[in-house]
Amino acid sequence: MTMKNVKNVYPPKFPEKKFGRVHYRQVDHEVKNIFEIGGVTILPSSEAWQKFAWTKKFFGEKPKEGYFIWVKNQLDFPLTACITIASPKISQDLRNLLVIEKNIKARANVICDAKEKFLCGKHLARGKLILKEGVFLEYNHIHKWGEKDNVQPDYEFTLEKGARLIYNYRNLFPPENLEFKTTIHSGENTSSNLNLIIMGGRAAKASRVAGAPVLGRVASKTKVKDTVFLEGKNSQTVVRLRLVGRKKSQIEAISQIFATSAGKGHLDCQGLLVDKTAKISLIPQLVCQNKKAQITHEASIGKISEEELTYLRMRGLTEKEAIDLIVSGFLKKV
Amino acid sequence: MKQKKVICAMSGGIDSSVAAALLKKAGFDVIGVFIKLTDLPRFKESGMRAKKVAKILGIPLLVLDLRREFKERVINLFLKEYKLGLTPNPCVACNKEIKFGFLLEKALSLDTDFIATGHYARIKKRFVNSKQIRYSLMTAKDKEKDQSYFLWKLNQKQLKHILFPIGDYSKTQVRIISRKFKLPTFEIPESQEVCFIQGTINDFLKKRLKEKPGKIITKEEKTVGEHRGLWFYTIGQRKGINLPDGPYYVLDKDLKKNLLIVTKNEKDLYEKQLLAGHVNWISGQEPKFPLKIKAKIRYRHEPASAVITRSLKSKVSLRFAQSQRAITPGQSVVFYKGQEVSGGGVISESY
Repeated sequence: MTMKNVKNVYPPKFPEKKFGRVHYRQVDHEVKNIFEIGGVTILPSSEAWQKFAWTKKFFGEKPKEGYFIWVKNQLDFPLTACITIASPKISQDLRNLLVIEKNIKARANVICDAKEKFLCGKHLARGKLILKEGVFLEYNHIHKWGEKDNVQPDYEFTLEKGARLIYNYRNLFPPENLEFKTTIHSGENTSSNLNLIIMGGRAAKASRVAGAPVLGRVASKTKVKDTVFLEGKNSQTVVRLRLVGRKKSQIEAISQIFATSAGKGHLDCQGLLVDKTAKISLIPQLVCQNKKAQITHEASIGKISEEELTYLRMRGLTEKEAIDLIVSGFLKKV
Repeated sequence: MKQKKVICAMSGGIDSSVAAALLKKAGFDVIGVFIKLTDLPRFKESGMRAKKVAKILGIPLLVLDLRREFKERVINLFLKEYKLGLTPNPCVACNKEIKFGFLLEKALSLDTDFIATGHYARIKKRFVNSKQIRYSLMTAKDKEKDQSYFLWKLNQKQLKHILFPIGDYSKTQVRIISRKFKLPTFEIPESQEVCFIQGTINDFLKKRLKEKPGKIITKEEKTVGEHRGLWFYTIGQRKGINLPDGPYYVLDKDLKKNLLIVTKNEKDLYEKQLLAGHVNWISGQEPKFPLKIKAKIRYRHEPASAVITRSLKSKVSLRFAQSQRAITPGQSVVFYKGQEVSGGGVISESY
């Protein structure tokens, strides 16, 4: 659902070029390739720290690994970065920085994944994304993890005057432990749309009889915290959070909007429990410090409707196919 | 959205009762129909049970008297085929003629969208392209109870209007659901025999077709005894031949000379090829031959790999990778591609 008083951000049209080339690729701790393009500086964070003194205030301390992308000219293709865990027991500690200069429209696809299911890796990523005046950014962030990984992304977006952001985060293959944190600082006349899709747990096996007891520990623990600060006049935000609790999953989510100026914001948080062993806790929080601000929220957690499930199974779908269809319908609403 | 109307065939048994319950749960406007097929007391009891179930579910129950049609199209055909020395599948004929013939026609004339039965099978809707839809008949989730074998005569037009609500449930789950809905049926034992016969099939045939004694000979044409009429025997049968120094197996029947041919060697019963007539392809389109499939030659037969090659116009010849025991004329041979039923035919001869 969209709120009437909050404008949706429509992305400007890019020529349809798909992922194609990867501009920054890191496997384990090693930077595999950097594809240089005109108007964009791409470096490992540690090099950027040395080369550009101004980055120090964003990085804070000297980074070990991660990417630095500085977009200075308008591009007609998306930037792509891939960070992969390919060996067992790797512990990545990334500091990423993406800076986009004034009035540039950009799209970035960032994929973080594990090559195999049981690598027991750790992916710690702290990122800062600076959208300067009048920038438009569509940031597609895709996660795909193994069943034993520990993943902690912590991204902070700063939107300067008139900047627009669409942040799409999809995590359909959750790790064992996910701590997802996003913070948005919205300046004057900015707008941000956050579409966050997070799955917990494993896909249920089709043969499992509904109601059969499930023993064993929790397969995935997920903590989500997204915070939007409406700091500038006329800043707007819409946050859509979709959580799917599958077999043996625990999801705790806090979705917040802090309004310190006359901005508009809306939280739309929905959870869907697919399995009896799943647990979702969902807290939408609104903090208003400006009497002209308009912030609203809606939140709900539901289970898969037995009626829908029975109907789909009657029409020839297996239980698993029927669940998948209902879940994809639930996620499509984003 | 308009509530879809569905007519559910209810026999008073657990499967069709649960089917009706699930339809109701899925939000359909359900009308139960009890089809009266014969005058046997068993049908009266079933009718009462169906009424009880309908009352519990809060749905109307209609009684459809198809005794005449059933007699003409199923029982008479059954006897005719036995007379011809065949071993028919009356359930296949009943499904085609009665449930998905008369009942479906009736349902559509009453402005309903679907008919549903308690068969263990599934129907999948697939888009061939953006305009064309194809319905596939699939095996049930419960492999033990799968009844897709009896449904090979269905076509696209029928499948479009059929629902099998319990196809994706196991028998155990069906029992659990039945208890959940407090249906009174879950204590009844399973019915598996031919529904219109009370007592044994031999008694029924004896009454209707009488006895017609003839000689029993071996493969080597040695007379070993006397039979009571060829219809009392089926290919592969061991019990009831009543010959000394057995066991003997029924190998073949010679209808013209009224001879029952038997063998002591069970291996003689194994054959690799068969010819099937009255072939139906569920997709409505004849596939390209040769076609690799798995074939089932009777209800309780593990599907075996085979290749179909075209032979005559409405007949196909099928060759198994490995010889199969007792390929029986009159029985249905059903073709499977994975879980999908591609079609079937009636076995006319084996060689």
